[in-house]
This record gives sequence, C-alpha cells and structure tokens, in this order.
Amino acid sequence: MKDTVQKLRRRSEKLLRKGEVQRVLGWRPGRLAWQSAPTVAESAEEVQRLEVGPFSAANLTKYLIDIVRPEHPARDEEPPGRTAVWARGCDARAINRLIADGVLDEDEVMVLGFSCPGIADRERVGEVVDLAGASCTCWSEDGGDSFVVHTEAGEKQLQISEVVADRCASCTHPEPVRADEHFGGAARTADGEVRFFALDEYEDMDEGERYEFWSRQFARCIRCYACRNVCPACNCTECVFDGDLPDRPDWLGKASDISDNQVYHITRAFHVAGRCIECGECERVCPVNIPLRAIMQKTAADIEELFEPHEAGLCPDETPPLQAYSLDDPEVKEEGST
Amino acid sequence: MKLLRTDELMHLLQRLSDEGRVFLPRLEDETILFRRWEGDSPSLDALRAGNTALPAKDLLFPQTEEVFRFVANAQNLAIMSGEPDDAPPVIFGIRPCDAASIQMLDRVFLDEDFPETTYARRRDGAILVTWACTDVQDTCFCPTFGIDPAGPVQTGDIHVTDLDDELVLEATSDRGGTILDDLAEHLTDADQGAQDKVDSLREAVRESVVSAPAADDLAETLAGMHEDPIWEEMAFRCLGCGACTYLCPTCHCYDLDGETRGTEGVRFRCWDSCMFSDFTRMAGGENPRPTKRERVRNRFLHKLQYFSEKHGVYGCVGCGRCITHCPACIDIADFIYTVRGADCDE
Repeated sequence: MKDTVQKLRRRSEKLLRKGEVQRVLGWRPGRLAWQSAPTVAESAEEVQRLEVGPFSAANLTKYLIDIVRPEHPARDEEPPGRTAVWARGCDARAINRLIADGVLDEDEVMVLGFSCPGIADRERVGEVVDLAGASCTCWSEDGGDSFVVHTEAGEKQLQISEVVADRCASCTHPEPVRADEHFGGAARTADGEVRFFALDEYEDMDEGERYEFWSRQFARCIRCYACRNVCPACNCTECVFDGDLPDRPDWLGKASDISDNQVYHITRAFHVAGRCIECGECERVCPVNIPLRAIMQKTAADIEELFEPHEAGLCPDETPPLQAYSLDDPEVKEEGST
Repeated sequence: MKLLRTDELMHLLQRLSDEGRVFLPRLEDETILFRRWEGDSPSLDALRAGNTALPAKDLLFPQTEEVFRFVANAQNLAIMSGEPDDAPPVIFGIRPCDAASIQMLDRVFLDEDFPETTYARRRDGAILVTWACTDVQDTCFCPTFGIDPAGPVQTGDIHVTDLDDELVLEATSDRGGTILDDLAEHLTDADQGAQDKVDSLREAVRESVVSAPAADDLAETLAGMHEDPIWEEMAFRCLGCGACTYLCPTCHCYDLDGETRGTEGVRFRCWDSCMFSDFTRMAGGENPRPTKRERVRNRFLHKLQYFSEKHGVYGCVGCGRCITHCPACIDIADFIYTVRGADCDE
C-alpha cells in the first residue's frame, strides 16, 4: 500500500498543477493513531498531507455532494469544476449512486481508484496492541497489505486481514468499480458468499426474539442522525426527517421515543433499499452500536430473493429494482393470480 | 477513608437504593450505558471499563420530557400540567469528568432568577457516587480543565477508588457521610497502606491522561478568531450530524415541540443540537447560521469562549466522547493544541 499511496500523491499533484482538477479528496492522519480524517487538497503542496492509512474509514463521497450542491451558495461563487477522489470499491460504488441519482455529473468527478486491502477495525487492533499509546500506524515497507503500529514498547506488525472490520470482510468489491485511473495491484479476492454472513445470527431468532432485539436497539437510538448524514444513498436535498420546514407536515416528531425512533429507522431502510452500496458507514458511526448494517443487508438479501440479483452502485445508469416496474415483478404476479 | 470488600458492594447499593432509584453502568449489546439497578449483582467489568457510551445527563435532563397536555375545542381550552418523572436518581459509578459536567448543567438550569423546576427537583435530591478512572482512553483529556481523573469531585457524595479486592470509599458530602455511617458494620478504616495505594494510583492515572494546553486565556484567544480559516477546514469535514452534541455531558440546548391529534395535544421539551441546520432557522425562513462553518464555530466557541465568559468555567470536561465518535475525526483536543500553536506530541 505504501507504494500505492505514493503513486496517488504524485498523480494528484500533477492533476492539480495542470489544472485538470480543482481539488483532490483523500484522508490525512489525525492526532491519535487511529484517526484518519477526510481532507481536501487544493494545491500540489496540500497533497503531501494526504494519505490512505489502515484506518482511513470515512466514505468520501458525502463531501462531493457538499461541493456540487453547496448549502448556501454565494452569488458570485464559481462553479465547482472537477474533483478528483481517491476511491476504493465502496467509494466508487457511492459515486455511481450519486450519478444515478442525478446529484453528480460524470464530468464533475475524476476517480483515482485503488485496490483496497480493507480497513482495520480499531477495537480489533486494540486487542493485540496498545493503540492508545501508539504514535503512528504506517504501511509496511515491504509493499504488502500489512502495517506497523509504533508504540513506546516497540513496533507491532499486523496484516490487515487479521484485524479487518466486519463490513470489509463482507465486501464483494474491494476493487473500484469505476476508475478513471487505477493504482496498486490486485485487491483481496472478493468472495460473493461472504456478502450476507452477518445475517446468520438474526435469521436464527424467532419472531418474538427479533422484535425484542430490535426494540432494544431502537430504544437506545439518540437520533443524532450520524447514520443518515454519513450515508451516500441519503442524498436528498431536503430530508423528510428534518423538522419544522415551512409548508411541510411534520412526519416525525422531535421526541426521542421508541416509536418515533422505529419510524425513523424503518423509513430510512426503505428509502435506501436497493440503493445502499453496503459500505457499512452507518454502523461504523453509530455511537450506541446499533447493528444498522444488518438492516440494510436484510433488505438487500430480500431484494435478491424477490426481484433479481442486484448490487447497488455497480454502474452509473442502473435502475434499482424498487424504482422500476416490471410485469415480472413478484407483486404483479401475485395480483394476477388472485 | 473506609474500605469495603469488593464482593460486598451489594450492601452499598442496597443502602443507596433507600435514597432513590439507582442507575449504574451496565453492558447492553456491547455498549456500556447507565441502566436501572434491579437488585442484581453489578457488573464490575462495566464499572471498570473506560466510560459509559452516553453520559448520565439524561438522568437529570431527559432527552424528551412532557411539559403539558391540552384539550381544545371552539369553546374551551383545558391545559393539564405534564407529569414529568422528577424523582431524584442515585447515579452510581459516574466518572469524575461526567460528575464535573453536572456543575455546568447546574449553572444553566439552576439560575437564581429562572431555575428549571423539574431539573432542580431531580438534581437537589440526586446522589452521585463517583468512581475513580483507571481505564483511561486515548481520547480522554480531563486534566486540561483541572479535573483529577481518579480523584473526588465537588458535585459527588461518595468517591470510590477501586483497589481490585477492596474499594476505598470517601464521603465527599454530608449525605455521603451519613450513608457510610449507616454501613459501618461492613466497612473498615483505611490503613496507611490503602491510603498510599490510593495516592499512587491517583498520581499514575493523572500522569497517563492527556492535558491539552487550555490556559486561562484560551477564551480571549478565541475571541479574536471569529474569522479564522480554521473554521472552514473543520466545517468541510463536518457531516452536520448531532452525535457530538448528544454525546456531550455539558451540551444542554433544547427545543419545545409538540404533537397535536384532533382536539388533543402534548407539548414536550427535547434535546436539540446546534449542529442541525434548522436549529437557528427563524419562522420566516432566515437562518443566522446558514452553513456548517457558522455552526461548527458556534459549537466550539460556545464550549471554550462564550460559556467561560458567562460562567467562568469552560463548557467542556474532556470526556472525549465527541472525539471517539465524530465520523469525520473532528477533535476538540486537537483544536485546542492547534489554537495554542502547540505540538500534541510534546
């Protein structure tokens, strides 16, 4: 990975110098060893601070929305031009989604794709090395997908695969599905069989256990909306859950109680069903550990079963099954038979 | 100082339950939260691990609370006062940072001229049993604000220091003293050895926690930074969710909202977040904080400048929850280092 990062930096510098892009989106190291913050570089000099590290978790595509659709555009503001994005499989799928949803034009983005080794899970790394006392985490010099955690007690080398986040373990597209240019060697082999492995433990519960389990999860929700705000499929100009909009009904009260919380999560699940690119960002950012990925995986698995094999964001002109009407749809058949 | 055998902790909890409903850290789906003590054996793992995912704020200032109900038709309007649950809680195992944060809530809600009555009822009767931190996280930075991570706190009633097999108990208020007196048969006096252990543990823990340079003039420095480019950079990263504010033990902003069904309705108070775009939107549609830049700036300046100017203390206790959970790695300790021009590795 070390070599890939160098190549991404060199190419990004060149693109900025030549004016082919106006900015580059990547990550940069934070104060703590596990922090890797989404960052924009607008000059060749600023590119030097960009990195892809073992903890570069954040999906960058939400920032593309802010760039092409500023919240409060100044009247004299120039059009945003073109943005280069360092992108993995999930980032690239999210970019396809934004194009398919009409948020982004293809010529507004340049995808600098790279083969993704997976993201390290902070807790798993913490189990084998004192991450709190670490000064930095760097890719190994040997060019592979292992990284070294530097602590006062010494160095610890870890393979990404030993400590990979669950969401990356179930990833079916570690390679970027769209890339204007591609960097790095082949990614881990993607195994389609692993896609829904997280669902097994829920499928084993009976109806009553499942209801109790999910009621407990939603009772814990504090409605901070981190799951919505980090989600690339949540790209509406105005969200139905943002209250007090003039001339709009209040679909959901501001009260945080189990019924309102359930309405929020169920509605969101249906809104993004078929458009969820399965990056797992919702689950990563939840401060109270609600297993949100399971909800999205369940809807994805049901769509596969009821309609057709489908993975969102594989191409920019896709029509998700729930947005299309076909005479072969299961509900059409059901109606016809009764 | 008194000693209680750790396996006799139940006696303390039982005595505390005479004072009110006891809440303590409990593990729920891999998440440590304050939950009602049901008379069962407490989880020492949950008490000893880091800090709770959410602060105890909700026990004194609930996320949603009914204010009043009404029935109205063309002729009549009947208003019934709400029935808030205002029984004072016993908060067991609260960390020094979170206990200190209650002083900030007190300054807001126990204002001399306009005290918040339901908050005051809960707060006046509440008992805080503080628990010395031993499992320090890398996001912790409470000494920045003069908090001793393993030491007693002014707001507390009893302070517990965990020496594995034994718990060292210190009464830090008169009520705490009475409770310990009642437990005398289960307690022994702490000898010099235990005292020494507590002292060295306190020092070791204090040494292990980050202390960012928040000298007294941080507020003055920030007062001159209203147009600083740092806000642009932080706002770029901010996703505009409310995780930082809802996880924060000192954030206290709320909204009054309501629901009306036909001729009946309810008005309730609920937490609100200055990070949400509609927080400052006026009825006519104008918004004085139109972009994330103004909102992020407000959040940081409220904590580190305005609150200090108004109340003489910073509105942050260094618990680190916002640092742990910000999806975009916005880090208030890092912000303080940056403003101070200091290197956080020093």
